[in-house]
Parts: sequence; C-alpha cells; structure tokens
Amino acid sequence: MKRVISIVLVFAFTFSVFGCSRPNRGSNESSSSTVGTKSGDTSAYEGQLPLAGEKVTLSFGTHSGHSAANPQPSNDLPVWKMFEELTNVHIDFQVIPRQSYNDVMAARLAARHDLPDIFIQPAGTSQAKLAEEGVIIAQDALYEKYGYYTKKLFAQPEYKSYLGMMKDTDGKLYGLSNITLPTVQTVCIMLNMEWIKKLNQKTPSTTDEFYNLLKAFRDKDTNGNGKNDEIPLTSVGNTVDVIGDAFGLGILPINAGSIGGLSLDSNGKIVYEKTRPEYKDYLEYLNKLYKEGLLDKNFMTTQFNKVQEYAANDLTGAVAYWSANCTDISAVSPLTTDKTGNTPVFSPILPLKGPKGVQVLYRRLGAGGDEMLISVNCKNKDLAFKWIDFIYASPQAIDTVNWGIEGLTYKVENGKKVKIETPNKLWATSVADIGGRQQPKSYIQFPEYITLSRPDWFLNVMKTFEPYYKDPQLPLPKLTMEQEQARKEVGTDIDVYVKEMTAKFIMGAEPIGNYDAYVKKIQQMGLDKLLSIYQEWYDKSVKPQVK
Amino acid sequence: MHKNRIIQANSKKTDNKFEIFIKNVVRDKELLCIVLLPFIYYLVFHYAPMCGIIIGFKNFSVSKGIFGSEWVGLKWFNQFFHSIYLFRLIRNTFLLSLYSLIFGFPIPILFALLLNEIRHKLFKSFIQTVTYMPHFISLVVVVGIMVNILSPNDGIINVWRKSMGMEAVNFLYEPSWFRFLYVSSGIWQNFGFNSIIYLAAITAVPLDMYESATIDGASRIEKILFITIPSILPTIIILLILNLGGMLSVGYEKIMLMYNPAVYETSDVISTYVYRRGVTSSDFSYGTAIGFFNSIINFILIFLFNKLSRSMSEISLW
Repeated sequence: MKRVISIVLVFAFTFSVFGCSRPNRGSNESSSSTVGTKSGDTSAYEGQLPLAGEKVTLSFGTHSGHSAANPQPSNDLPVWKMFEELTNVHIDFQVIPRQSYNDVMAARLAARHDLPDIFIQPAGTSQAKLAEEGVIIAQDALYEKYGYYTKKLFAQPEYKSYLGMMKDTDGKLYGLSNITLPTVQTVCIMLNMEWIKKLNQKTPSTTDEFYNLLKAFRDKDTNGNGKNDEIPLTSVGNTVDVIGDAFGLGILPINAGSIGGLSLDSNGKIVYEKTRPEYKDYLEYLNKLYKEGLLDKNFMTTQFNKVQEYAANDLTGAVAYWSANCTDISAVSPLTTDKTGNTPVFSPILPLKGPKGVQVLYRRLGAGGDEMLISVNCKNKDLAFKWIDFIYASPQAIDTVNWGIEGLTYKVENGKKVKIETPNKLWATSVADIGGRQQPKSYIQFPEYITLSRPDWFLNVMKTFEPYYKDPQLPLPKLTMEQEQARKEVGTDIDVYVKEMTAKFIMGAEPIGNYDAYVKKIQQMGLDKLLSIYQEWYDKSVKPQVK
Repeated sequence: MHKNRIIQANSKKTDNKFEIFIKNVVRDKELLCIVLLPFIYYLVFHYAPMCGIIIGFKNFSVSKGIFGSEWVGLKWFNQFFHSIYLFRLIRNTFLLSLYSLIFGFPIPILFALLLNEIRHKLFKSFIQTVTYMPHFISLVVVVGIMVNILSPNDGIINVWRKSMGMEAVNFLYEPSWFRFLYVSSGIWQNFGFNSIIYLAAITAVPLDMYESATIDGASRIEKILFITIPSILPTIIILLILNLGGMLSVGYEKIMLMYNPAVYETSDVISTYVYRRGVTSSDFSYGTAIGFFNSIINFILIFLFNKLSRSMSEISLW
C-alpha cells in the first residue's frame, strides 16, 4: 500500500510540472470590435477621431528612446494619455532598453512568437526578408486606404521623395521611418569656445589650423589646474570620421552604407572610400593627432556619457559628435553661465578645409531609422495603420509632440502659443519630460518646429553651414537576400581587415608606408567582387531614379 | 522485500538479456521514476535540439522551415575554412582557453588546500564568502570595472603611472595585453566559486588517515602532498577532462565587451567572428555549421584525454 502511494506521489510530482499554468499573454486581443471603423463603410477615411468605436489595445514594441535623459514611453506621460483619449486606442508599451534593443528584438523576431502588433524595426534586419519570412506585412494597401495624413504630408514638394526612400528593394512600403532635417542635426566638430577665448586664438578653418589649436590646448594647461590632463579632441566611436569630409571622403557610418563608405566616380562606377589615396592622407592626419596625444586614446570605444563627464570636468576642447548635443555638453560644463545650455560653451564650427582645399560636410541621409512595422499577427491591422498615420503625420499629433500640452508646457496668449519656461531646464527638455519631442516612434523634423526647441544661437550657427553641405551620392544600400549573402561571403573578412588596419594605422602600430600593401591585400580578398554587388544594386535601383 | 525475493527466485538460468532487463526495471521502478524528469529534460532540451544541426547543411530560412530550406552541403564550412583569418581565429580561441586552463585550473585547487589548513572558523568562512562573491557579479559589471581602472586618461593605474613619470599604457588597445587581462579577470572572478567543489572533496577525506600520518611523523606539507592531493585526484582529473572539452568554446560575451578593432589580432575568436557576420541578418545556418565544427573538435579532445587518462590512471569519465 505504502509503495503504491509513493509511486503515485512520484508520478504526480513528475507530471505536475507540465501542468504549470502559462503566464498571461499580453492582452493584445481585445474583446471589443472595430465595427465602428471597419472598412464596411465605403466613405473615404478622413482620419476622424476617435479611431476606434470602443477602446482597443494595441501592443507597441519600442526602445527606450534616443536620449537617456528623456523618460521612457509610458501611458503615465501626459502626452500619451492625451493620445489615448483622442484616439481611443490604448497602447501597451513593450519597452526594451535602447542599447540592447536591436539584439533583443531581432531575437524575438527570429522566434516569431508573441510579437507586438506594431514594433520599431531593429537595425540590421531586412524588411523584405522579414516579409518573406512571414513576420511583417506590406503596408501599401493600408497606406492607400488609411494613410490620410501621411498622404497629405508626402504631397508637399519638400517631402515628396521621402516616400520612395522608405520603400524596400522590392518596391513595397513596410514601414514609415524617421525623416530628419539634415540641416540641423549633423555630425560635426564642436569647439570649446571658452578655451579659445582663454588662449586668444581664433576658430580654425583648416585641418592644419585645427591641429595647431589642439596642440595649444594640450600644452598651455587650458583648464588651469596645473596638470597636463587635457584631452584636446574626443569623439564617440567613429564620429571622428567627420574629419574625413575634409579629405573628400564620405566615411561616416550614417552616410556610409554597410561596408563603411561607398562613393561614385565620374563614370558612375562604385568606389570604395577606404582604398582611395585620400584615405591614406586622412589616416596620416589622425595618426599625427593620436601620437601627439591630441586625440582621445579611447577614441574607438568612448561613449557619449564619458564625453559629458570630460566636459563636466573641463577636460576637453573639441568634441566630434551630433551638433544638437552641443547644448547638452555646454550645460554640464563648469564654464557655463546658465544650466539651460543657452550659453554656447561648445559650439559647432564650420567644416574644416582639408589639405586639398576641400571644405564640405556630407549631408545626413534624410530618411531612415525607427521604421514602424506591423506584425502579421496583429489582429487589427487597419486600426494599427490608422494609429500610425495619426501619430506620424496628423497636425494635431505633431503639434502635441513639439509643443507639449497646454497649461503644462505652453499657454495661449492672444491666440498664439507661448512657451512656459522652467528655470534651469531647457524648454525642450520639459516637453520631453511629459512625453513629447523625440519619441521612440518614427519622427519627422519640421523646420517650423525645430526653431522651438533649439536656442537661437545654435540655429544661427547651423545656418552658416548651408553653403557647405554636400548631398551624399548614394542612399543607404538595400540589397536583396542573394546579394546580401554574396556580400557576406566576401565582405566579412574585408570588414575585419579594414577595421583592424585602420586602427593600427591611426595608432601607429602599422607604419603608414604600408598603405599600398593594405590596398593590395583588400583587392586580393575580393574587393572587386564586393563592389560589383553594389554596382548591380546601383544600376538597378538608384540610377534609373536619378534620371 | 518479499516481492523482490520472489522475482529473484523466479529467474531461471535460461532468462535472456531482455527479460533480465525488464525485471531490473520493475525492481527499480521507484528510482527510475525519480530519474524520469531529468531524463526527459535532457532528452527534450539537449538531445532533440541536436537534430537542428542539419540546418548547418542547409540554407535555412525561417519562413521555409527546416524541411523546406534547400541543401547546400558543406558551403558554410567551405566559406569559413577559406577565410584568411581561419588560423588566427582557431589560434586565439585555443590559446585563450589554454591559458585559462593552465593558470586558472590549479589556482582553485591550491586555494582549497590552503583554505583547508585554516583553523579559525570565522575567518575561513569570511574568506570563502568574499572570494566566491565575484562569481555572481555580472560580466558586464566586471568588464566595466576593468575598463574604468585601465583607462589611459583617468584610470587608477595610468594615473599612478603618470604620477611616477611613466607613460600611460592603453591596455585595452594593445593586442599583447589582451590575453593576460582576459585570463586574469576570469581567474579573479571564478577561483573562489570553483574551489568549492575541491573543498567538498577535501572534507570527504577520512580524518584517521591524517591521524595515522601524524603518528608516522608527517609534516603539514607532507600530509597535503601525500594524503589530500591523492584523495582528491579523481575529482581533479574529472574536472580537468571536462574543462578540456570546452577548449574550443570561448564564450563571446566577455570578449565582445572587452575588444575593439585594435586588438582583433589576439582577441577575435571563432564565436565573435561568427557573431559579427550573423548580426546583420539572422544567419542561423552559418552559425550552426561553425558551432557544429566547434563541438566536433571539443568532442575529439574529450575523447582523447579520456582515453589518455584511462590508460595512465584508473580515472576517467567513461
């Protein structure tokens, strides 16, 4: 008897594990219907609010935002509360930290399980591939039917070409992406104006003058603490490559395509920037900076928060990074007179003129990033797109995102909106704090709103950049799957080699005299084959449109 | 009890192997039940996934599924073996494991032996706790601490060097430093935790052996050398064989956190190379193929060392 009981108990324990209840899935299937807005009615959709008859929940997979200073998206923020009220759509945010977003979301996509209805595309994935794998849907039909506000946006002449840029290699639209104004936010060199004043120097305009200035920063104990601890030039990862513009190279990652730099020669042939003779001159220049202690020794691995730390300790004279962050760095510097970033301690300077007289700044590509994709499993695809359309392009949403909420961040006087400033805080930050500004969804920078959030001195400086902008010759390459596989076959090793040799040339571990051997090696490794893949892409997808 | 005797009494000399097997199963059914759950676990999570190795021979696409994707035979292996970095990757993987083993293996043993000699109980527990705490710190934090300490601008080590009039050393950008930093931080983090199993083995040594050694006039050192170590030798060898079986599997997380292009020469290993290649689009097939290659090498190593151990001593895994 005892034995039977014990056997039964053992079996019971063994199999009870399998009976464990599953954790509750997200409630993305709501009991309500979308009868009120279903396409049963034949009248054209005009973006009427609310978007849903009864409250519907949509899940939205997103990252925690582009700036660590801004709050994470959540329904506690006034802006999102307002959107929910207006649209009658409750968003179930699934937030993943920005740093790990790409990896985590790519893994979830691979598992194809429990995907959010809408989610931001992780960098490095291919839309056509995801569609082919049955993960996302093409949005062309939804756009035609429900893209009320978005169509209006793209009807404007300045925005007409962006729609084409957002489509994938197969000509379909899979997600609306960021549109950024290239003229306000761009990678550039930001100089510590207070240090220049201290040393009685003027703003450098050529690469040689810049070099001399950095030397002065280093030698003259510019921060006045008696120690030789200045780091004249810092950068965040490869942002130092903006100096490459002065040498006629377009090698910054945002302009660079997946192998780090392609351009077009006069015959319409694709050229790899990192084997050009100009690249040698550039490496020589950086090597000079590095070995004389003018460039941060950690230039390949420094993160932005470390740069802010340097600025806060008054250790750095020049930062190569996104121009709009000059207000952040200025605000933490001990040399500032106010904490709102309104004093230009760090100010962007015009692009440097290189040794051959080239003085340009490659314009940032206008569209891309944060594409909002709709998953195949979304039960309310129509509503999902309507919501996207509203949030992305409706005047009401854009206004809220940029101005915030009446009574909190602005008030209306005489029919005009007036900012409500808080002391010791950038007004733009107070808008971000309630959920506005750069949200983790696709955003569009509109000229009329840019002036709201940046101090005047900054806008004036950026205006002076206008004559120097040069459009990138090529958009970001979008390869088909076969092309991508062929590219990886040859490109993986070349990528390793180029990165490694670049680091060695700059650090001086490899003498610059071996540059020719380096180029030869790359050609041996199959550079021609790699370029032919891109040439094929160019001839097929880009050239016809340029005409 | 009675039932067992009846079963045994019923077995005849002419029972074939199968019947004996069934009788054993019936006799041991309670024990088998207990083992049933772990057995199913291993079957489902370790053996069944092995079938997934076939995607290493296919061009796997998630939408086509495993059986719908086309065969490509040894394509991925070919690509990998044709990489100009093949030798370097294998060498780096192997060396990092080897150094971790040569330096990292004896230290927990030594530490356990020394710890065993301490009489003061409180002190002993305190040391034990402090030394195995780093094991529980996340790898990210450990590397973060390392990066901070080693920074050429404001890390403690270089600040001290500069105050002594020496040049700052950019540790994490010098290929020659990488192996040392990788291995020593690994040892620091894990020696305490790894020593636990040796401590357990040491406490299992019967005390009367020490007593008889004392009577024979053995010193402390002699006791360690001739009693303790031989007694825990089986544990040591088993763990050694197991560690050797992981020689070609250097985990990529720690290296990814520590490396940069300037030190690819000594830090780029098979797993980081495969990771970088696959990161642009889920390159399952390639990763599987190379992982499979890794596993084969590891298996050969375990097999060889096991055989070696069996021939040289009586101790082996199987």
